Amino acid sequence: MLTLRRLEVEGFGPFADRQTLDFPSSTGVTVIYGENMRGKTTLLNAIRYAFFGTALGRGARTRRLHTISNRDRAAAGIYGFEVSLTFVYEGDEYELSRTCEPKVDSPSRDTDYSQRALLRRGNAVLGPHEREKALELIFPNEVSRFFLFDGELLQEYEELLINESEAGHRISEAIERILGVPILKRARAHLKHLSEDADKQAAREALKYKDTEVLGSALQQATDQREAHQEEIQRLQEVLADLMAQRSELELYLQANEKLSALLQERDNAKDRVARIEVEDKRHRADLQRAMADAWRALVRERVRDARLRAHESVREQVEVLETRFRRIAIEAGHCPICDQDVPNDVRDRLSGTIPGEDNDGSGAEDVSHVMSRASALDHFRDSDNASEVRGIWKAINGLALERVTLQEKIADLTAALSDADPLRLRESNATFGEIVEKISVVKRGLEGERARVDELDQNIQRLKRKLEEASKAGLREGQRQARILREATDVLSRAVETYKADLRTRVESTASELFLAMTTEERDYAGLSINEAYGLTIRHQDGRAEEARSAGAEHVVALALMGALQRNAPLRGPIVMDSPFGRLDERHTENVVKALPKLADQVILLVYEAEVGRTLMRELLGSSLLREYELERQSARRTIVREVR
Amino acid sequence: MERDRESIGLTAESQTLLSDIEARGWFQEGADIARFCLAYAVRAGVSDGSTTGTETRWAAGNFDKTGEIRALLAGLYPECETPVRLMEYLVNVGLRMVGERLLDVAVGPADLME
Amino acid sequence: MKTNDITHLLDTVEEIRSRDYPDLDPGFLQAVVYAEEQNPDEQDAIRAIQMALKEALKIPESI
Repeated sequence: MLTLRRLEVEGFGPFADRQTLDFPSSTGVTVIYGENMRGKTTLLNAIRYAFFGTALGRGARTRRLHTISNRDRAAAGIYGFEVSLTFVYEGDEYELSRTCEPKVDSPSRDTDYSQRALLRRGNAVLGPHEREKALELIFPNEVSRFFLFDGELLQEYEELLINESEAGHRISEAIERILGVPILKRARAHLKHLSEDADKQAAREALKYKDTEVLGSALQQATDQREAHQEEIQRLQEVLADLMAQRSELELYLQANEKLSALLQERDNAKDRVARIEVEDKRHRADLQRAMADAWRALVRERVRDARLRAHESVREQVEVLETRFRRIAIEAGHCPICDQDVPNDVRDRLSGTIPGEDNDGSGAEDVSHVMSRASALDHFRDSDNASEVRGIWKAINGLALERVTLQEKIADLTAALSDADPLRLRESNATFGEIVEKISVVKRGLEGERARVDELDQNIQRLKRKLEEASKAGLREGQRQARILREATDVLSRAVETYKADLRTRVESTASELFLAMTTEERDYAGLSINEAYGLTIRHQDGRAEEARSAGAEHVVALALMGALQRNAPLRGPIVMDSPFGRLDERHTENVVKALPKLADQVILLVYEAEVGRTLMRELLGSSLLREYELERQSARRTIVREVR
Repeated sequence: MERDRESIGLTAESQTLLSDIEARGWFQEGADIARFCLAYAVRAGVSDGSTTGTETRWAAGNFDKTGEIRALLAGLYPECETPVRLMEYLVNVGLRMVGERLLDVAVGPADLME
Repeated sequence: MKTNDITHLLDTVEEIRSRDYPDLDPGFLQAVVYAEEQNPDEQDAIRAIQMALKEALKIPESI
């Protein structure tokens, strides 16, 4: 088990002068309070730096060393930093120091620095090779994520639920690593390798003796074939690894460019729409031209109508005048000029009453034909009003023009945003991604086929070996015996891997459930956690249903439960160092998590700011498990000191 | 009786105005514009008149294929005995009127018809 | 990777051996697990296993 004893930092982040934190050796929690920007994350990074020589920034990106130097000291021309970590492992005390020193007076790049590392075990200083080996054994980088806990871990944890993702796969492997599964897997692999060598050896031995010559030859052939297929498997695995790496890279590229991809798509859509607008616009303009050819009629329609009415009125009037004149003539002459008949006196009298006294100017006949021809001309005019049609078309044209302008602005904006992108590469990448996924599938099928063939050959080989054993009269020769031991041991280890993994999953599930129920606020509704093959955990309701929708807070608690469960069930144990883990939790959850901290690991170091959990509450919740409290005190904007509170 | 013209012509100014309107693409051909502007002038109540200094553009028969314009003018301008000369006048006046309205960039074909 | 407590690993292996291959030398399997645990380097691990195998072969065969 790994236990931290002391951390010393100098010139590292906001810690200008040498600062020391001592961690008690008993089981419990050390709390370090600090407001934002005071150096909480820096302390986590200091531990990382001590073990691995790197520090992480946001998004788990490696930070440039040059940015870690304390800025106050840098202003005074002092660059570089040192971190020392004292810890106990398997009963031995170690001191690990890592120093970063400038090679030039005014360093500005990482290459301007040189780094030194020193690992002392007891009184002995380990040489570089031994040091690296020891550190790899004590605290391997890929499992550090389970001990040095910050918000990034949560996101990674969510990957676990997506089985096919590369990140999820890596975390599963890391979990298996911490649980010790690799030991068994490697043992299995090595035994298999030795077993196959032993088979070949047994075949060669059998060829030397008459009673086993034939079998020996068959065995040799089978082992040779198996070797050939295994080489093919090896080759395919390399191809697969390469393809997976390409896929990962593309995935990352596409993800990073997802946004750009979306912009590209948007721009393409906008351009398509603009092209369609052009077509529609053309069509509308043709319609407009057609309509405008006829529009002159609409313009004069009303005038024509009015004039037509007046003309017809005039006609009527003039006809009346004409009628009157003819009546007058008939009255005066006693003879109708139209029907050429004499008019009797009584009719003359009657007619007299119907006409006015005086004759008008006698222009009737001319007027009538004039107005009638005018009325007729106006009647000849074809009435038509397409004003509303023109309005409709014009509105459509304007609408399209506006849309076009808007789209062109949008296209310009998108082009600017895409200026960093390589649309061709993006499109190609999408296509390539598809191809690679397809290829991976093909290679996997190939591998399956080859493995099946190897299994067949294996079975054949085992059959031949058993026959060989039967055929050997003088007891098993050593080669055969060796081969048998190795074969059986390989088989035991194969089964052990699966059994151990299943057993571990059960244990991890049980412990994680226990921790989860201690930390959740819905302990009545929830029965616990269920684990899947990839160590993804789902929350189970009392009625057996899985909780589908999980809030960020729930993810948090589940991740913490997993961490604690791994700690308790893993052969590898160490301290948990947590940086502001309560971000997404509400008050009750936060309290539950604090109370559960001592259950997660023997040594817990908690970095918090007081708004997350106040000191009084912290003391109340942890009780005797609270071993020590520190505070990160601000001296200036660029300087922090560590003060013990208790 | 005064002898009527046989063709319709445009002054230099009218020619320019016509070209401008053509450039907008609202009409298929110049004659459509001329007819439209003639109607525009008629609607505005322009009275009979004459234009001088014109250069022939269209033959009267082509300009008024259906005879409706002649009929229209006969109906609305009954005193006029030289309809083609009147047509020419109304076309040129109409072009000027429409040209003036179109100085406002916001004006479109639908607005001209209001 | 050096681990603190591989008892569980060893128990699992022993359980399977005694159930499926009772004649197989338990000491050999234990030695294999330790060999892996203590030797992160591949070649070192294989050599350790080979040595364990030699020891196992010294034990006379039970019929």
